[in-house]
Amino acid sequence: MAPPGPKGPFSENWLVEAILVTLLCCLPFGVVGIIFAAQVNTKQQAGDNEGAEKSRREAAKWTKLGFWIGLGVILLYVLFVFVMGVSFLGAAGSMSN
Amino acid sequence: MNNRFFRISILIIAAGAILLLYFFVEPKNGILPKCFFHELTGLYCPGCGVQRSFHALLNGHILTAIDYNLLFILFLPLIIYFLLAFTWGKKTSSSSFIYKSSFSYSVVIVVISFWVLRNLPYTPFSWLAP
Repeated sequence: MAPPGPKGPFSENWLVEAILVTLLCCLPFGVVGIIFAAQVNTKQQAGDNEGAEKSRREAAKWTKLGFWIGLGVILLYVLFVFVMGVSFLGAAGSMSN
Repeated sequence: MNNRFFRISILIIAAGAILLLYFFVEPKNGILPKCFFHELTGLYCPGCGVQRSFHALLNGHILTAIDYNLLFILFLPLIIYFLLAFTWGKKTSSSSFIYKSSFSYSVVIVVISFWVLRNLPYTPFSWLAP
């Protein structure tokens, strides 16, 4: 027997993930994710399962977008620091020679 | 079960590396990545100051940590709980407060207000800036 209350999969609303992206990737994408994540449960409680699923997909999309862009920027930054470090060491080495 | 073992191993390695990094490295010395929203616009995003805040927290300076990013400290218990629950493979109950609209809309309001207020140059709000 189905439990009372709103039906449909409750498995994800992406709220915590979106909060993490907002705080750790410094990206406005996370805020968009939080807004869509908030819509998921409101729509579900109103019985609008189709709308809830749509918001859940949007929340997932923006959160993942923020995550990958944030990760990409961090990796580029690490690469940049590494290259700078190597060329700095190279310059220092040639100066001492 | 193997999956859980895999997630626990990843958590221990990743959390260990991150804790060591932020315990020892001073974010202000410029090795760690900077917020590129701040670099581009000069404004603070909701996450600006998280790295300095985390460094301060790991070194026991809780008030300094709050000063750098209040929102991060507020959300930290939630973040830690969900990282652990995810790693253990525990399904969040559908009656959990994170699935309540009142909670998720409060998060929306708190995050956006925090974002706006910490950019205001007036005394009570500028305390929120990193």
